[in-house]
Amino acid sequence: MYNIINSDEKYLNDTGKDLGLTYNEMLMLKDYFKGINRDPSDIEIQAIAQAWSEHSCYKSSKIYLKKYFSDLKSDYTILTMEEDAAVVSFNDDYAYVVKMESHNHPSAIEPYGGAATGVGGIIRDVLCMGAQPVALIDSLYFGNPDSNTGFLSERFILNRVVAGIRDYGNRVGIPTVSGSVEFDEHYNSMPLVNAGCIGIVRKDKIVRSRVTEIDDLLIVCGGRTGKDGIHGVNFASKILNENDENNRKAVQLGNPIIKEPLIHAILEANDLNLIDGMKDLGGGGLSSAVSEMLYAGGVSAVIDLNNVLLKDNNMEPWEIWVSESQERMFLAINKSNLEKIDNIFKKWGIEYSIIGKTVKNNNLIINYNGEKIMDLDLKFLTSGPVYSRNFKKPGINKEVITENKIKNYRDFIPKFISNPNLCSRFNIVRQYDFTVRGDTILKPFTGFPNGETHSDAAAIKPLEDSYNGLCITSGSRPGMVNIDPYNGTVETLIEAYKNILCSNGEPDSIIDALNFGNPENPETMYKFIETAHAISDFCKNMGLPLVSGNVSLYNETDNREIIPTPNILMIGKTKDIRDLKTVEFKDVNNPVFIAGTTINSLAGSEYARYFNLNYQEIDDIDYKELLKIKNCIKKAYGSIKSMHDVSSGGLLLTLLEMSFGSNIGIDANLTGLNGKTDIKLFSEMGTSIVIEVDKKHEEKFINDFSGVNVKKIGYTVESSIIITDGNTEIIREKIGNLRNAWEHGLDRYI
Amino acid sequence: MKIRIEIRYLPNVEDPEAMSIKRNLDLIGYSGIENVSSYRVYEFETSLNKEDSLKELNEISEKILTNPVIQEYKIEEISD
Repeated sequence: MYNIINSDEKYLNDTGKDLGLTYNEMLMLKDYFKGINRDPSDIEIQAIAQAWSEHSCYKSSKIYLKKYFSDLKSDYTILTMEEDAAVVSFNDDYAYVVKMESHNHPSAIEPYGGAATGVGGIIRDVLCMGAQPVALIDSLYFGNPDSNTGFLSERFILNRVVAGIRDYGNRVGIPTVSGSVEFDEHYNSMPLVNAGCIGIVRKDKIVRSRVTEIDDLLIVCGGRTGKDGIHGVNFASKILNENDENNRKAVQLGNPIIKEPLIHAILEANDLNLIDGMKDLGGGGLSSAVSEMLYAGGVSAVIDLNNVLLKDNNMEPWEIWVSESQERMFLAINKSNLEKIDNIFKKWGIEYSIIGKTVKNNNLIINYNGEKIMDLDLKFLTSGPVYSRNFKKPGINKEVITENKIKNYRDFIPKFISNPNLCSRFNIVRQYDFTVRGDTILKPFTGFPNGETHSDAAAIKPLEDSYNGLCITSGSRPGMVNIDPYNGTVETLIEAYKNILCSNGEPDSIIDALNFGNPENPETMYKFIETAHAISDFCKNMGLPLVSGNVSLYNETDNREIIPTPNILMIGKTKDIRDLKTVEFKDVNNPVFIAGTTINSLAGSEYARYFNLNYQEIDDIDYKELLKIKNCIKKAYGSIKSMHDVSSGGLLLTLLEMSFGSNIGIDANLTGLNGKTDIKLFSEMGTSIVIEVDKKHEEKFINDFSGVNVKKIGYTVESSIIITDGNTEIIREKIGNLRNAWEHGLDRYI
Repeated sequence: MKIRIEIRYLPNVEDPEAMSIKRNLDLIGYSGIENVSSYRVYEFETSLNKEDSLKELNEISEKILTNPVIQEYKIEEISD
C-alpha cells in the first residue's frame, strides 16, 4: 500500500526511485490522488509507473517525434504512426503491414531469450492488424567480438542472439529475409537487436488497435500469464546495471510452438470478421494494451483479473496486470461472435479467457476477488509526462588526418575484407530459414549455389496470384551518425535507398528504430534531434512516407553509451518480380559503369575504423541526385545486367562482391575518378552505384543515363580481379583467393 | 567419481516440450494424464575428490549447462 497523498519529499523520492519515476512525476501522482481524495492501490501505482515509462510514453522523444514526423504521410499510406504497425497500400486489394522494434535491454541480459522474444513480439505487432506475417528482418549490433571484459563475452552474446532469432523464426515458420550485422566496441555489453516484420492483409480485413463498441467482450488468448517479463518496460527505460539480479526477471520467455497456431487462429477469426479490435500483449502487458486500446476507441472497461489464465497461481494482482509473458493477444469481440471464436480457438488448440467487457465510462475499473482494486481515469493513465530535454552540440577538435597508409595493397586487401564488418555474413544468415513459405524471390545471398555473394535488398512475392513484390533492406551507419548525426543519418537513408534501387525496386516507405544512449545527456539528445531532423528532410525531399517508428533510449552501462544508431528499414515495391536485378556480374566483356557521386571523404568508413582515423566532420550530400538515377534505371533496366551500391568497404568491396557471386571479375581502371587512390577505393559516402551493362546496349545505356554523373571504369573478365589507378596496379588476383578471405572472416567467432 | 546433474525448468516457467506432449496425449485420447514435465540428466565421471568434483560441476552447471533465468539444477553423487 502506498501513502502518497500525505507524503513528504523524501517518501516521494524513494518510492519514485523504486518505480522508475522522477520526483516531479510522483508529484503529479500525488496531485491526482489528492483530487480524488484517496491513496492509490498497488496495481494503480504499477500501472502508472509502467504507462509513464520512457518505453511506453516516449516522454523524452515525443515532442521531437511530433515536430519532425507528424506530416510524413503519402496518398498511398493507410495507417501510419498511430497503431501497433503501419499499413501501406500494396496493390488495389492488398496492403502491407510493417513495423520494426528494438529488443536491446533484454538481449543484453539474456541474449537468447531477448532476441527470440524480440522476433515474437514484432510478429504479434503485425498480426494484430489482421495481417499474415510474411517476412522477418533483423539488424544486429554487437561489441568487438574479441572482447571478453563484460558480464557476458561478446562472442557469447553474438552466438546466442543469432541462435534466438534462428530458433524462434525458423520454428514459427516466417522467413528471415533481410537485415544487417555490425561490430563496434561501443556496443560491448550493449548489443542492439532491432527486429522487423512485414505482413500482408486484404484492405477490407484491416483490424484497428482500438475498440469503439460498448458491451464488447475482452479476450486474452494464446500463452498464459506468468511472472516472466515483469517490469520489462521499466527496465528498458533504465540504465543497465550488470549485477542486478532483478533484471533477469524482466526477460520474457518465448514459445514459438504456441505462436504458430495462434497466428492461424487469429487470421481465421479475422477472415470471418469476428474481431472488433486487437492489440498484441507486449511491453507493459495487459496494463499497456488494455488501456491504450480502450482509450484510442473512446470507451472504457470493467475487468475481472481472476479470469486471466495464469502459469503461476502465486501472483499478485499487479503482477498479473503488468506481466509481459509472451505469445498473448488481446481482442475485443461482439458477444454474438463468441461461439464462432470458441470453435476456432478449440480447433487450433488455443487457450483463451474473457477478462471483461467494454463500458461507456472515463475510468478503467479492475476487480479482483470481488474487490475493486483499480478505478483510474484513462486519460490520466495513458497520457504521461512530456519532456523537453536539454541538448547541446558536441564540440569538434580538428586534427589533421593523414590517409594513404597502405604500402602494399596486395597484402592489405585480404586482411581488410576479412574483418568482421566487411566479411561475408554466411555464418550468421545461413542459420536462418529465409525461404520457408516459398515467397522469397531475392534471397539474402545471390549467385552460384554455395558460391554466392551478398544481395542488396531482399525481395518477396507475398501473393499467390500476383507478380507484385516487396523489396526489403535494413541497416544503419552509426560510425557516421556519431561524427555528424544529420549527415550520418542521411547516409544511412541513402544506403537503404540505393539498396532498393539496385534490386530494381521503387522505394515506397521508411520505418525507423532509433537507438540512443541516455536522453538526459544533452549531447545525446542533440544527436537524437538531428537524426529526427534528417529523416524528416529526407522523406520530404524524396517524397517518401515515414510510416512507423520505435525509440530505444538509455542504452548505457557503466557510464558508457552506445553510439547513436538510427536503424532504417526501407520497403520498396516492384510491379513484377521477374524484373528484379541481382548483384553478381553476369557475363564477361560487359562494360561496367559507376553512376552517381562519391564524396571525397573517408569519415565514418571501415577504412577509418581499421586505421583508427578520428574524423570529425561529414560534408553535406546532394542526395536528390538519387531521384535522377532512379528515373535513369527505369529507362535503362533492360540494358542493365547487374547493380550494386557503393557502401561499407567502398568501391573496392562493391567490385569484389559483384565478382564473388559468379566468378566473373573485373578489369577496372580508376584513373577518371576523383580523389586520391584510397578515397577512390574506400570512400563509402554518396550516391554511387556500380552497374554492369549488356555490351550490346552500351550506347542506349549511356543515352538513358544522360543527365547523371556516370563514368565507365572497366570491363568484366573471367575469374580475375584487376584494379589499376593511373599507372599503379592496386591488385591483380584470382577471385577465388580473395573470396576465400572474405568468406571465412567470421569463422573465428560463430 | 560419478556425479549426476538433473536440470529442470524453474517452477512456473513453461515447459514447451512437455506442453506439446500433453496436448498430443489429449488429442489421441489419454485423458487420465494431468501434467507432464521434462528433465535433462547428465552424468559426469571425474578424477577429483568429492569436494572438488562438486565445486567444479556446480560451476559447470551454472556457466554451461543451465540458463539460470529459466532453469535450476540438482547435483548428486551416484554410487557404482
